[in-house]
Amino acid sequence: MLDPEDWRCPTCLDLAYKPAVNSACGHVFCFWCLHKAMSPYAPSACPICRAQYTNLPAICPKLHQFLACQFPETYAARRQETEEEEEEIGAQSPEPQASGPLPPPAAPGQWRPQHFLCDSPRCGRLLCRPAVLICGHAVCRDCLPGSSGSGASSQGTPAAATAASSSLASSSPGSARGAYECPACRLAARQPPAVCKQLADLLGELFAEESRRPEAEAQAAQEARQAEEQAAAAASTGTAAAQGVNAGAAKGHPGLALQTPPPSASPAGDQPEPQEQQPEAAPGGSSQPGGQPPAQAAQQSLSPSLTSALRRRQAEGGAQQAMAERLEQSLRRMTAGEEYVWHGVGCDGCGQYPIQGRRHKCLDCPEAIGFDLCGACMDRGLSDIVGRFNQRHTPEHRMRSVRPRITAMHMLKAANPELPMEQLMWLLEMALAPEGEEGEEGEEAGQQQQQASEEQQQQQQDGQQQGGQQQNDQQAGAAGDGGGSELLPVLRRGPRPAYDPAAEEPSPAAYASHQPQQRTGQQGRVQGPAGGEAEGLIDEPAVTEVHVALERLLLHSGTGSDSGPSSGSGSDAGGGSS
Amino acid sequence: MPIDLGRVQKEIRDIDRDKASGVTIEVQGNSVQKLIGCLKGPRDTPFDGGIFYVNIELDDQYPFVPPKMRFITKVWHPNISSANGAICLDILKDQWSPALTLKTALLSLQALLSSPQPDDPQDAVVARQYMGSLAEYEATARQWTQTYAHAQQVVGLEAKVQQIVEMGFGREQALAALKRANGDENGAMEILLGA
Repeated sequence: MLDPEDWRCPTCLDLAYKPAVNSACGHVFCFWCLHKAMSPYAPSACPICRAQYTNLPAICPKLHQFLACQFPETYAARRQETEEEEEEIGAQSPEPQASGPLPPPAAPGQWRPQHFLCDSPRCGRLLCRPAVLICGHAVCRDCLPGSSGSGASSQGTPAAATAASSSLASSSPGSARGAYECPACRLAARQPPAVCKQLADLLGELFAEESRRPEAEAQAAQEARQAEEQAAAAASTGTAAAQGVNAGAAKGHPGLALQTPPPSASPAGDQPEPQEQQPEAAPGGSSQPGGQPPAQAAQQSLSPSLTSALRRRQAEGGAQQAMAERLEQSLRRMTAGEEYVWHGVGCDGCGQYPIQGRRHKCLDCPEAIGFDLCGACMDRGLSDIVGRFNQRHTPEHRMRSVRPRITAMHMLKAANPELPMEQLMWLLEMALAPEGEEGEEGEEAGQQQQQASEEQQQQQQDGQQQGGQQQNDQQAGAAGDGGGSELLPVLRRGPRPAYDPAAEEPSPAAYASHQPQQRTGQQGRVQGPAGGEAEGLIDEPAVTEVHVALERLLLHSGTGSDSGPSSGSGSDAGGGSS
Repeated sequence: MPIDLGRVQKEIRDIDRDKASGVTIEVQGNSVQKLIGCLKGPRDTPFDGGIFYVNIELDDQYPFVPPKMRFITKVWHPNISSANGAICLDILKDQWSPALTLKTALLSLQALLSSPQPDDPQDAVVARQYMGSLAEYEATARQWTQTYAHAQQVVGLEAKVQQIVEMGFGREQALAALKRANGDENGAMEILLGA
């Protein structure tokens, strides 16, 4: 394992830089490569084994130190490359913290067990069956609470098992103590971490003797852990979640750079009051100020134009009616519950990507990439951490809950709940492709059309720069005429889902900063605080052009009575942003 | 963000080095984003002895999106369009993974040639024939292989036709011009532009 070939990132085929381990399967990639391989719409699949993962990558400081010292020249070249790329995309990868008590060795190969100690404060010995967690900490697999260990005897107590299943079944605010919580920091994973085989092999090669920890010792540790778990489970049944968080904070680890203790210490104005006061309330209700009934909350989340389009369909009767009713039903379910998926938005705490359920957004982080937390991390008081993309978020920053908004992708998914998101993307891409993939005769015409619409867009963009007031209408017009060609590059699986709220609101996925993005981002900033202070949560700033085009495609097509593209969608865009 | 040049160049080097794999690749023009792959027809199939050219286009986001592949050489196969060479293969669509490479994709195409998937067809006519009468399908496929993919010069001609077609000329027109110019593409272009 001392050959650089062994540490080649399977995605860029280069030496892994700032190595991140997919904790679901233990495969090692570059930080950015693992991020770029994620789908902004649904759980991602490991590029190698297709194991599902839902967390933004976190750099493993131990592997980072190892690669940096073992292959100094290549690693320095990779650093330069990556930094240039980061400059281009306008985002930063975090700088890993020191990973142990010993400074890095002076020369390659001079490794000592102290460089590879378990991060769990209760273990602190050479890693044995190492698992790299979603926070980047490396711990022995058996040091994890609720770990399944190697045999049936280590399955854990029934209480621990229930805790595991309940935290897996829902990410509700109540289950703050996850089963796969990192012993070093407080982050809890939603999936069981896997042993990182590459790191295990490395340790086996470097420290053949030390890594063979006596069986009896491991057995004793396991039993002690079980007893402890039992005690903890018994204790935690009566205690509130907040206390668990406090306990976690007390043994905080420098790895996550926790700056302040629990939420109670941060200014009260920072916390969206409804969530903090009634963590057990229904998710749909809890995202509304004043505890409005969920039905009404859902009503609000469907835009007026969408609602009227659905009503029109329902009035038509027959298959149209059935389709519209089914669609409305799933859309309401989607916005009312924890099912809502924030396409292209990731949690800077646990790294859930895309965020599902409640989403809290920082109003004050200046980075284009933004700072967001999922509901669970917000409830755990994780609003005071360094972001996953090096955002300089501080506890003084104001966090606001964001109101879910139905985008075209949500509609597509609601209309085809049985299809995986990846397949929907391909269907969409095929449907919108301006040049016919099939049939050569259509190709030429398609190209001409595309060219024409591109010219048109160019003209309209020029116009936009001059006339500010008509921006929305012109944008909508452009989307209507050349929607297909506009859409294609962004609809693919890949690092930037530029069409959806992520494009409107800079987020981890939308790190490529485009001009429109910056513009709407400013809009959001201007209106955000005002609206947020008034009612405790903020709306998505504006409807994107693409969204409008798709909404029309899905709902208005075939009705025949559709008004012109610019008038209809223009008003929609206006409505969404105000 | 531009394409990851380093990765593509590594992939090309890797294919060049591995002579045993039976697939080759070459860059088309100046950009590495347009390539032509070449694979041998698998043994004990109707495609045995044929050499098949595949047009490859890489998006800027490659390898995070699949490469666009399409057969240049005409193929009679349920999962390959007999009209335009479009390929129906899951790893070239939603099952693509950035850990796959051009080499593995070309090898997958080779595997596809030896094991057609008529349940998920690209060409309904071929698929129907495959399901209805296997012998007939194999005869047609063999004949197409002999006609379009067998002799080197024919394959070369096919690639040239494709190049001219991509410049905006009709297929028949390009073929006729190439024949008149004895297979010389520059000559054919002169004929086409002069006409």
